[in-house]
Amino acid sequence: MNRLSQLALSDEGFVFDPQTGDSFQVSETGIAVLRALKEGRSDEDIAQQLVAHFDVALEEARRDCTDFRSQLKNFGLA
Amino acid sequence: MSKRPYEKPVINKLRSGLMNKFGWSPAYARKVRTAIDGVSVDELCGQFGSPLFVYSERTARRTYRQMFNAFSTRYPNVVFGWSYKTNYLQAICALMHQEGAIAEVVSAMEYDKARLLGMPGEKIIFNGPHKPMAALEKAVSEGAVINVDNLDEIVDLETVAKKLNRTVHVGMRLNLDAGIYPQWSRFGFNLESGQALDAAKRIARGGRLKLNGLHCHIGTFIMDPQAYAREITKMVKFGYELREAFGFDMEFYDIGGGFPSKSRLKGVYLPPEVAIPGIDEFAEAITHAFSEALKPGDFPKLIIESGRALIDESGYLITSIVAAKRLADGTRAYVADGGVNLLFTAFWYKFNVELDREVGGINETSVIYGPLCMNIDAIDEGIQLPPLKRGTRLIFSPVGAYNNTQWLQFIEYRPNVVLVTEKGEVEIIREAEDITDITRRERLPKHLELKNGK
Amino acid sequence: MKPLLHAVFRSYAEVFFLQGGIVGFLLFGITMLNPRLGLAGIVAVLAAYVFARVIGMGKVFLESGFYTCNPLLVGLSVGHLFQLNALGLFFCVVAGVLTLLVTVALANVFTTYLRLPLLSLPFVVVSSLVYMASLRYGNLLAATAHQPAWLADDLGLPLPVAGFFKAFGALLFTPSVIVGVALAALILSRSRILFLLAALGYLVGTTVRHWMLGSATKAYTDPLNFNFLLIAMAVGGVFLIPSVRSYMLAAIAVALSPIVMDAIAGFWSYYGIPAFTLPFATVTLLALYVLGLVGSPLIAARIGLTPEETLDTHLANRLRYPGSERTLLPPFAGAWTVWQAFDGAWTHKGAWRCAYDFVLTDKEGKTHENSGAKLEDYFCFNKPVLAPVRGRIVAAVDDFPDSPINDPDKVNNWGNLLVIAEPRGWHVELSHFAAKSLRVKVGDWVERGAVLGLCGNSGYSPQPHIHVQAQLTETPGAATVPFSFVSYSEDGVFHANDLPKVGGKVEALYPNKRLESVTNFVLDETYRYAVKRKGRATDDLVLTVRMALDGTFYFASSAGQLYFGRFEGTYFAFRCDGSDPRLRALFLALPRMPLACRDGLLWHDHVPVGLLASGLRGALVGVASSVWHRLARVRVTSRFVGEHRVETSVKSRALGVQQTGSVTFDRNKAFATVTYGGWELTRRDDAK
Repeated sequence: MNRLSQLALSDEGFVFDPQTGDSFQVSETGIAVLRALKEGRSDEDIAQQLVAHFDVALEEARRDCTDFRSQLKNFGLA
Repeated sequence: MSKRPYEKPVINKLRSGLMNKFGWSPAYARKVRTAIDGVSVDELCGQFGSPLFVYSERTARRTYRQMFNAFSTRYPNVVFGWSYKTNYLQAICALMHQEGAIAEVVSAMEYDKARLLGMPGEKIIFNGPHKPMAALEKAVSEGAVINVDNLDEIVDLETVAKKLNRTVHVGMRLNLDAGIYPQWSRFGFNLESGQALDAAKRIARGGRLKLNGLHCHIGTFIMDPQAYAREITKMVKFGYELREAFGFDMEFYDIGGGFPSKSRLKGVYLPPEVAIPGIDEFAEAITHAFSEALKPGDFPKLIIESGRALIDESGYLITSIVAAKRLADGTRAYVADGGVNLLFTAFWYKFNVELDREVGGINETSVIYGPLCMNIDAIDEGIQLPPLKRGTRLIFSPVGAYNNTQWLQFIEYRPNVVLVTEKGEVEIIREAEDITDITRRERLPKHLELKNGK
Repeated sequence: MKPLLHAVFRSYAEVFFLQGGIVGFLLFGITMLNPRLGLAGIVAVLAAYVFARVIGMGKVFLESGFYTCNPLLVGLSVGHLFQLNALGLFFCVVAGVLTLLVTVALANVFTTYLRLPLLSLPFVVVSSLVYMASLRYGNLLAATAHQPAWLADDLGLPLPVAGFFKAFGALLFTPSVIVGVALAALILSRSRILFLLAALGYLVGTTVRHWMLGSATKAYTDPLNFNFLLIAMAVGGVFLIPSVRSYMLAAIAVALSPIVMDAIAGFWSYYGIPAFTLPFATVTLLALYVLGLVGSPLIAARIGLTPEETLDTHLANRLRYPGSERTLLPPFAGAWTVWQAFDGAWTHKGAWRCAYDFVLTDKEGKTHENSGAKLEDYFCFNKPVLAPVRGRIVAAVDDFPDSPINDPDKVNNWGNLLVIAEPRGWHVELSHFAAKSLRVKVGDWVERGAVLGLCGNSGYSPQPHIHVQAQLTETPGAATVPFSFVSYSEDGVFHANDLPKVGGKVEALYPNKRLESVTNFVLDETYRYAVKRKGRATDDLVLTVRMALDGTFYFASSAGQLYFGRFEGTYFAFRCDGSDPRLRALFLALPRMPLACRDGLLWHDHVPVGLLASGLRGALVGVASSVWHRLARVRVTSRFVGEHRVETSVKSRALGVQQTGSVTFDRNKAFATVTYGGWELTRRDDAK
């Protein structure tokens, strides 16, 4: 969680990690999820939020959240 | 509040310096195919299941005519031999024969298949290193064109000729140096070392066979038209030597096949549209060399045994994603319901992959695995795809060549193969297998029968 | 012995424009009804024949009976006039020999300088001499020319009819109704047209004379009436193609003849000489000479055994051999479409009317893909142009650029071109080659099918195409002359020598080595066939390859000859002589065959009606065809079935014939099997 708070997010979909100097490109939904994670929301919450704003089924949203978090883990961001 | 269209959340690291040519622009990498020849992918899979091989009759016929015209408008005596080993599905063979090709077979099985389809013996070219005696006898008595591969075959043919009490006309398979690598040397008689001339001498001495044609096949997926020019020049020169020495008049020159299709070879950097010369270049090189080498007034038959170039681009395999995972190193992996069991050529070709729908989102490097429980079962080791959900269909092309002959009856049932006809109707040309196909030829010894599970 | 008999008896048949020993023998028999006459005739013929052989004339010349026909007539006239003691016989011999000499001498003059048949002029000359001389030979004269009483019976027929038959008999110096009926019956059985013409001649002639003389009896009983028969037969059916026009000409000629006849008769009577057949000879030769001078198409190029056969051969040959003698192969590989032909609407006009333009089209008939704005869009652009003839390149132009589409070069019409000098005495010009694409240069010798260059768009060309024309001189742009294409398929149908139509898909067919060797017949080769008729075995057929005097090869069997040949990539069966039904079957099973073997290739032919016509229906059709030339056509369609078999169907609605036949071949020479109608021929190879 700490790492997440360090990340700088832009609305255009770019993420900057000041600690490593790496930049990332994230999709629109990814930005929304990142923001939600930075706020400390739970996976379930985030999934619900996605369903609320985007045209997606709950089950898929849940899975994608989990998957996104593992992507973040891969990059050492979470 | 109306909902916005959903893309899966993806994060990708930006690399400074070298840009990945194929990855970034979504429009560039994302290929979508919603229909094949006007029939929607959904409809095809809905009716015939997934995975599904789909052939386009229109493409096949158009390709044949383009290729045939390229040659026939440059030399007045051209015949195409359809290479059965490339695809011996009855419907495909019949289509080729309807367009005017004769049959080229390399085994007794393929010979039987051609005969079963209704091709008369005189319209079959029988090549290959393994021609059992019974098959030879049948081929000779039915008037097939036999290209001799080795000295033992010459002996066999003489036996057949003696039995049938007639002179048998045969062609001779040569191998030669056409300036390309690798040089195939295991088929036929070597030209440069004099082996071929010795074989001709043996034939002349035997007295029961007469040589009336030369056959050569220099390789596969050859990208240099001049290789064929060199091949045919050497063959014609040898043909006239044979006439001088033994009085054998060559009625045909069969230059084999090996023309490339628009598949992408693994390891070739440029895309096929740039790397592979068009068929007109091949035709020009071959017919030019041919007419330069021939004596005036001599117009022997030019036989082209093409397979891949004719059918590859007419074939598609529709698969569906059955599972998505992320590998330990973060790579996205998909499991499709068709793998190397259906696409044996995936071992050396990188297919064109198209999605059945527009998918938004950023591309990730992904791997496509097949359904087999085998580590080698990967169709594509690294491809830029947006995140796909289960059920998305991946359409692989071109798969028309060799996949429906080299596919494996391994682990999975082999699926339906359909043909989209010129009229737009869809017909099954090979039914999906069921358990009887797997067990039909098996016999269980009595002492191994399980009684009540014991 | 046989040549002697042939020569002797055929002379008799020649008198009536017929041929054949049997007919001649019957006629000889008729002359013997008046023994003195008959004997004189045969003596004269034999004398002439022996003399001819003594001076070294070849047997084969004499065999047709042509040279001994006039001596026969002279002999008959001697027998008619004189008594037949030793002196009389000597006179016959002398007269016969004299006639032969006159015949041979006059024949040379007539054929070389006048191109006219000799008819019976030598007979007229010598008989006149004989009669003039005889005035001084009192020893020889017989009391009267008498014939046995029973022959003089008129059988109670009306005067005109009796006169008709007497005129017939008079042709053999026997003006008797009975003899005339026998003769008329004989002629009717051999040729209905001849008989009808004789009747026509008699009718017209006697009517005109009746009108002029005012006396029916005189008109119908004049001994010179036989001239009318001869004129009508000769002009109406023998030397001209029997047709409505020839019949009209015959009637006109007969109508003219009384003037000539009476004048000659009147004049000659001062010297005591009968007019004989001089009126006939005069009128007929005059008519034929003038028709020859104006180049009338009615003149028969080939005179058959009977007028029916002359007509039949003429009609069949016209249908069988279209095309010309300036033969070209289509100058490309693959199937191209004819864009413009002779007298084309755009540019093939006037002095340049004889030219062809070819393009490549797709299934929809378009010559290009995409928009057609660029040269490369056109299918035929940069495709090879092949040599249509063999010959030497005498002109080559290579440096004009390809004109843009629809913007032709109006200055240099012919663009990049080649002119080939054909060894037969004319030239072929090909135009609009692509810039710098010529593969040959001036002075090169090319064979048919050699790659000359690439199809382009130089010169006056709106879009890429091949332009080919024939001309007499080597100057590019010279006036064109007619030509034709050989050995090509047009929309799947093979044409041996013809001109394809605009829009037709044409492909040049090159001979297949296997078929060439199968039909490569060599003199003196023999082939033996086992023969079955309707399933039952009969005698073997042995065919020997021989060559006729004019160089045509033929298969000789024991009872007939089948003339064949190969021309420009096609095997032809030209004509069937004699009466061997097995040769007939071979002809009908395969009247022609392309030497290019393509499975499914179809071709058409026509055969002479006489090969199939028989019985009353055949006879009627033979006569009716002379009036309506299109009445009876025997249409033959053949096709390759596989690479070793041809199937043929023969149809004629007028004759009610519908038959099929087939021919198969293997790698050995000559056909392996032949079937037609109920006949089955199978080549025997055991002897080899």
